[in-house]
Amino acid sequence: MKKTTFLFALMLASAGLFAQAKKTTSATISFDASTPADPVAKAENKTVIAALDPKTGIVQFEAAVKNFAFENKKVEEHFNAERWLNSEKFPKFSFKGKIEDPAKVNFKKDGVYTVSVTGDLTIKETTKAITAPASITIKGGKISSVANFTVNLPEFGVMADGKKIAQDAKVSVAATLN
Amino acid sequence: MTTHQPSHFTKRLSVLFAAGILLSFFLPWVNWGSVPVSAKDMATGNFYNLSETNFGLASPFPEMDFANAVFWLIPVLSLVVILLVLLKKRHATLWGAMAGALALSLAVVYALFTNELNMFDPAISLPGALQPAFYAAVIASIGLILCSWQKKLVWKLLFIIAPIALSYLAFSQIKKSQLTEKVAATQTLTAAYKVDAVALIQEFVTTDSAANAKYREQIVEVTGIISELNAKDSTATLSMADSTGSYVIFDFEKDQAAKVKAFKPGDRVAVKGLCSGSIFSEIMGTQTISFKHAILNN
Repeated sequence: MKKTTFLFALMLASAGLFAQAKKTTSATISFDASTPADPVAKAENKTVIAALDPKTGIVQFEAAVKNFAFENKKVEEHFNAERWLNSEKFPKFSFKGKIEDPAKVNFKKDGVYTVSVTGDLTIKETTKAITAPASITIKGGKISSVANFTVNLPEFGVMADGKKIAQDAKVSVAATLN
Repeated sequence: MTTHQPSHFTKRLSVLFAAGILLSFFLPWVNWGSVPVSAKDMATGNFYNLSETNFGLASPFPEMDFANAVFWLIPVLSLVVILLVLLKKRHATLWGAMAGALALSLAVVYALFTNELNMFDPAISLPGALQPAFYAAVIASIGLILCSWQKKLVWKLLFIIAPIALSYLAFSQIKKSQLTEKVAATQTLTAAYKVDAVALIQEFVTTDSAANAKYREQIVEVTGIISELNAKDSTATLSMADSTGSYVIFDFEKDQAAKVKAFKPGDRVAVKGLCSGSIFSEIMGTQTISFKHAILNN
């Protein structure tokens, strides 16, 4: 009985912690691996799931690889192909990290806060630690955040020759959390 | 009018070059990593099968693939030249020039195409990919064209330069058209499936692998109640959720944002878009089925 009560209490506590996180299902990731020789390797995914827990500073996002929309048809096909992102086998990008200095952000006071986020980025089931500067804007209780960083594609097993496809893709994650 | 017979030397060279083209046609011209590709592969249509299987590069004009059979003329004309020179004691003339020109044009395509593969596999470099049979075919083609007539230098140069220039121009044009080819407007595409949002979500929740195999990469029209809507400037997303929180979400084409703004959560809409399949969200604890290039289809 005691065990059941404990488990139930643990579940409630977990749910309470989970509920504290601000979330969205329509964050945007901009991906740019274009080069002067090939300017079309750019895409956006506007259906990214993101979360930020103001109490713990934990930051997360998940994106369906296949939902990156390119303007160019061939590049969209290639992006999802086996030798690049292989989206059929690895359908998701994900990141889980933490604001390094959460005390710098007063989530109850309007303002723009510059922070550093460190965490694990997983692409094609390869996980690498990254640190990126991020900007958090509090306005009327709403939290908006933008983080810009580069992803070295070959490190994640993504073919990039550096001529037509940049080896260091520029990635920008923007979210308005509710 | 007199017909000049070729000298023994020219005759031997013509036969040698024609045989060189004939033989090299069936040998690998290029090696894409571990995939040998011969000139015959273009004539049989296997060239684009290999490029699609190994690099995801399909034929740019699949409806015209039958025309690649014209490259069978390379071995056929080479054989004609050998017989013509040996039996009729004549110059290879137009037969030889055409065989050489066709082989040269194909060699240019193979070299340019292989050079592009570096984008998919940095280990593939053009100098390393070209095989001895490629060089033999190029040398034999130029040689055969030069031996095709006793004089007619202008024609000889034309048969050498024209196929190289035309193949280069055609390849560049196709490459340019592919780089500028936009994703097809969803408005112009017919939905492969028309489904209710909750029923669609249920299919993915029940067996996501089967649902992904069925809907992914398909144009689907989904009808349902808006649970969430985000629209600003030229971007818009819209969700339809079931009672468990699993949802389908649409990223709209730019010109749709203004139309999407006119709706609100609770409204019933029909949306057509390209299904990207589902992922399970650790953050939300639900199935997420996403669509891109979506348009309102009310």
